[in-house]
Amino acid sequence: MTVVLDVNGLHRIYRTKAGDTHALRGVSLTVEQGEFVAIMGPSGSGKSTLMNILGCLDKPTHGSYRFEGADIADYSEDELADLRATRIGFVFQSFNLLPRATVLRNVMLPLVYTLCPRPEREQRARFALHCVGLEERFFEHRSNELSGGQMQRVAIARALVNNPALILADEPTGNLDTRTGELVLETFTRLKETGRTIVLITHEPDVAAHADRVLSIRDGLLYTASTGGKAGHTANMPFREGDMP
Amino acid sequence: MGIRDLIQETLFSLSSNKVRSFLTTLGIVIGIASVIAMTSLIGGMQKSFIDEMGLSQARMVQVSAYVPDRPLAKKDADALATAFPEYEDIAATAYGFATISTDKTSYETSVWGVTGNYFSLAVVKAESGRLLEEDDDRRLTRALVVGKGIVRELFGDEDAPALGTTVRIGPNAESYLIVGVIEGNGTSSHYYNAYMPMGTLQSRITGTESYDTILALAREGTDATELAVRTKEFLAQWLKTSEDNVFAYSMQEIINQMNVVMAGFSLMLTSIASISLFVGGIGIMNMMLTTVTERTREIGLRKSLGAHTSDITRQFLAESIALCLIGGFFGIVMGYAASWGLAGLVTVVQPGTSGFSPVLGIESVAIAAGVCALIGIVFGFYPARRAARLDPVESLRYQ
Ligand SMILES: Nc1ncnc2c1ncn2[C@@H]1O[C@H](COP(=O)(O)OP(=O)(O)OP(=O)(O)O)[C@@H](O)[C@H]1O
Ligand SMILES: [Mg+2]
Repeated sequence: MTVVLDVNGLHRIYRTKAGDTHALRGVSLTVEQGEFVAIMGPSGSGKSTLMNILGCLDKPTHGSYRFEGADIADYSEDELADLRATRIGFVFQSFNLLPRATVLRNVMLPLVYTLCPRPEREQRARFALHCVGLEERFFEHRSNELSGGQMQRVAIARALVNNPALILADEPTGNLDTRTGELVLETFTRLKETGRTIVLITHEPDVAAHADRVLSIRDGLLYTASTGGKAGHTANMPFREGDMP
Repeated sequence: MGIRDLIQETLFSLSSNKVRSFLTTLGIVIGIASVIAMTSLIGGMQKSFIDEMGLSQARMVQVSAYVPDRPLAKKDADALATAFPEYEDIAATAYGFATISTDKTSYETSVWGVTGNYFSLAVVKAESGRLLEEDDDRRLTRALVVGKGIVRELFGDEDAPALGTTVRIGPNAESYLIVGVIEGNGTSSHYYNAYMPMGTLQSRITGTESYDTILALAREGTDATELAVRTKEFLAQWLKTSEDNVFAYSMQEIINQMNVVMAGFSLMLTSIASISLFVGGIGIMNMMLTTVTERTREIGLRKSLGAHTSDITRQFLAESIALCLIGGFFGIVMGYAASWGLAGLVTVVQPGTSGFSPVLGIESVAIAAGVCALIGIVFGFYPARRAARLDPVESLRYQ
């Protein structure tokens, strides 16, 4: 199996006027292609920080991150943008939909930054929306007219629409009822079966149970919590003192 | 991000903020409107002036001389014709003061004597009847051609049937027949003029052989301005006088001078309007900065979805350019409308004049659009750069 994510001794320090926050303190992690990994942890433990780095939105203060074998430290800003446009799908904790745009327009947005031909975009957006089970009658609604759960599904559809190799989801089922949540998780499982790699953040053990592997993060450190459905995976945590320079 | 996406995104975000977009562009609208209004007014004035003169008039050289006891006369016109084959035709005018009277009223005015070719040279048209011809000049007919102002003075109304009426002119109150009425209302330079054959004026009114002005039409393709200079030199020698006493103007020169004056005038007004445009530009910048702040999360999102820095720059630059172009469009429309209103006002304020039609050249529209685009770029650049430089993670966290 090819390694998609290879993280080594990752540190992220936020420097603010009020002082430094050491949000990640030596995280190491490898995720193979087609793996479904869940990360659990208390609020403020560094989950979103890790997610931003894995999604190439943020760069680590120390440590290395190789995405699909290439060190992202070597990438220019535009190359990272292209990587995000074509290889990575984000589901943000706070959705981040464009409130005045319609559902379809929101879902088509990532395709604007890819080479996807215009006529194909709507088709792909509709398909992605079907995957997350949003009814057709909402497609032309403005996204601020939707319920929280519906918004969440639109946000997931937007992450799927560019057919990414890696999906990063920050609490994707937080606002959904159990049934819809199941639907979304089934979608993730299906995507995983087609070779997509999924990293998901959640608070709910039920959700984490869908994953092949569950990691827990506390105070910026990653621990192996359990092995999910896909048994026999090497438990190789905690990565404590990495290689802090 | 393709150009069509860019246009679509731009229209989308501008239309979701219609009122604000509209208010922001007002400075541009007013600036462009005033420039366009004045450009079309000046264009209209120039056009009506040139139309009035007739196209061939640019080739006309007007000659006069002031030498004591040596007025211009036919021999001088003949001498010019011989010396300058560049002249196609040469006419002359002279005038004398006289009283024109009907049974009921009389009017004191200057009466012009013109050579038979004058009217064709000066491109004058008759509204009714005929104009004076070579034959009148030869036979010294007592025929009179008048402008409509004279008709009004004599008959009470400029459209009164004057044609065929006999009037009396001069110390001996000799009778003249009105054979033609010249077209054109108050703005026409012939409105208050009365014309008779040159010979008739000379023998019956002024009693001299003199001309006041010689009008020479340069052949097509000759440089009338340069010809006027040589004519002046020649005439000074011919009259054995200093060049200071001799005048030879080409109409082209007068047109050029008018253009210089108009250009200076529009330059002045343009600089005033550019203040409005500058203020408008600042307004655009202000609105764009606000937009960037308001849409920080959107910018972060777009970057996280793979937008390049340049995509964000282009998006916001396109918005500010579009704002300015929309403002420019309304400015052009409003300015053109205003110029018609102002031209109409001239007619109201000064009755009897026909006024003129404003003229808006395509190049003025193109320049206005170009200026708007430039304002959009200049004042949109900083906000766009600021948007593009935002850090995606920070922007996504922005509340
Ligand atoms: N941009 C930032 N600037 C300064 N400090 C930050 C920034 N982002 C995160 N932090 C800090 O880093 C720590 C980890 O934050 P992070 O958002 O990763 O937590 P989280 O695990 O996602 O929490 P939650 O479950 O509440 O979303 C927190 O203490 C937070 O205050
Ligand atoms: Mg978080």
